[in-house]
Amino acid sequence: MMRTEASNEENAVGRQRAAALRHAITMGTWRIQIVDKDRTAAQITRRGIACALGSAADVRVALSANDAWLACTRGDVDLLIVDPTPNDVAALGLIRALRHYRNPVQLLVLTAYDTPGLRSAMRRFGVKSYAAKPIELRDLLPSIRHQLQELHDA
Amino acid sequence: MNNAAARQIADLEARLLVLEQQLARRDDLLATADARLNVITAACAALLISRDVDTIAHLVVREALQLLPGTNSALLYMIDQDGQQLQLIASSTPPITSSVSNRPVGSGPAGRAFLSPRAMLLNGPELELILDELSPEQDAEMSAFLPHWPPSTALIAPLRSATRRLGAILLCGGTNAHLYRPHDLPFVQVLADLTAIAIEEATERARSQSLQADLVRTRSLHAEAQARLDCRQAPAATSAKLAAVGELAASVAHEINNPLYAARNSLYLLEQDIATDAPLRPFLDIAQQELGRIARIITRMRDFYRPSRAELGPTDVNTLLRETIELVQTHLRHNNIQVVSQLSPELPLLNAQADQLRQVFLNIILNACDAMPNGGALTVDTRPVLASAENSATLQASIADTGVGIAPEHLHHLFEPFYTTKASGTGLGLAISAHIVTQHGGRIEVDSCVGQGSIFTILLPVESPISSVEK
Repeated sequence: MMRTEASNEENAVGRQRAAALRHAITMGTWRIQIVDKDRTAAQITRRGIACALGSAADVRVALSANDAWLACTRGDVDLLIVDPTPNDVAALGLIRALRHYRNPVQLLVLTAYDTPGLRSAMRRFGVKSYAAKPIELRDLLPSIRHQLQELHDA
Repeated sequence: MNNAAARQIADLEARLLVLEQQLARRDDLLATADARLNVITAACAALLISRDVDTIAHLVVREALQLLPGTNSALLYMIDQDGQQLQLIASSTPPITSSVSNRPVGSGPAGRAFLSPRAMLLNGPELELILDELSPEQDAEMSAFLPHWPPSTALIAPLRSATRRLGAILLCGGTNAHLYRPHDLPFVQVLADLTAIAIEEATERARSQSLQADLVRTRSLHAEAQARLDCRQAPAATSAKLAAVGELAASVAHEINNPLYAARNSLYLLEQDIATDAPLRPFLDIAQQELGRIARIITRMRDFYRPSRAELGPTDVNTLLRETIELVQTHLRHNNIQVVSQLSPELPLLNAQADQLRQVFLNIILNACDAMPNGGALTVDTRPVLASAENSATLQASIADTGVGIAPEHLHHLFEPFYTTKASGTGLGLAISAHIVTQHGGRIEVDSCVGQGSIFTILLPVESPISSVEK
């Protein structure tokens, strides 16, 4: 029974990844979503990435963590940028859920609330890309490109 | 007629003679009373300035001989603490020897005197009956002690205060067949009452002095205990205050990060569309640089209160001190400060965060330099302190200067965040140092004398508890 469930899960992950790759190949754009309660910061991130990647990226600010989760489960997101603030349970829940259900979406934590505790928690959730505000976009963009490249190579 | 008149005159002369004799006797009595009053007055004055029971007792037995002529010996007894035995503490004639045993209350002249309500005159059979109450041993003892024993007449009086009986006076008479008389009683009673008041006051005074000494001792112990408690609580209080300030600083830093991120990168986006040779471009660059500067200040402030998670490791404090002195060597030379190192080669290694301890030493050494603007000596000393019943094995590092010293009113605030006496100081150096040392399970002690210098002693347990502390 357990084996069947795991197998189903792997199939779902495979389907989502395949959908993302098909989309990138056919449409030529990366779909990036931003989850950040600070709307101004979120818009700056969106604009910065959009400027840097141009038509290669479709960058959106998610209305909520739940909307982002639904988009990820549909396979509509290639890269998710999340700011898990200490009082935002939804953002943390989103990261936890992505890892629990092995969602193949690339994840970048970009937070204004950098602490050793948060870094440690993110490491436990398997987050590989982590940046602390007020990082400059010129320093952040290479990291985003690298993640997209990884996704492409996969 | 003449005969009758002559008889009348003779009768009158006889009556006159009798009256004159009576008058002479009264004069004698008055003179005696006057002399006794003088004795009582002198005794009173002497008792007023007598400060201890022994002095009072000896004064009283001496005065009793003058007060009542014909007295062979005057004895003064005091009741013991149990209220069962009377102890002879003063005698008018021979000095007291250890052969005189205590007298039980209620029997014998002294025992009767103790229980009697007032002074009593004992003559004849009444005295003999009371003397018979003494055992043959006691009687022999008194014969050996007093030259005229047994007495042919005696006066006894209790020593009483308002609340208790203190002892008794025994006057033994009979010299030249002199017998005491009833009119002697008021004088004995007065002497006994004065004695009781004086003894009571001396006893109370001694008790008061003893209580006062106890109070002083208790206050001293309390002050010592309070000082020890303050000493132990001070680092914890400072640490807690620092943690609170750190939490506030980190919280403010976090809240600033989002607007700073937005402002900084808005300029970045603008930069993409402005030509490098545009006239206003330099101002954009300035704005970016200054926002970058704010970002660095925020990061430094946050890290300052939340020391980086340096790894714990075996740490040689001697090496740390040598390195720190080397770091400030130029500074020391320019300020004409001589360094004296007395580093113990037997110092054990600490399991500590070396970078943080280096920061502590650096803070204290730089403070010492600031305290010696005209030069001086900086003595750095380390030594191991062996474990005792109260403390575990400790390492002691002392940094002493010969500078201006710290005023006593500043000493208690040295480790408080933002407390500084320097015009350009931040007031964080020693606060951070104390915090770091406390995190290592140790403490910093300061001893300072204005005009002579200060000694900062850092005590660190060899077995650091830092691994169990949240860093």
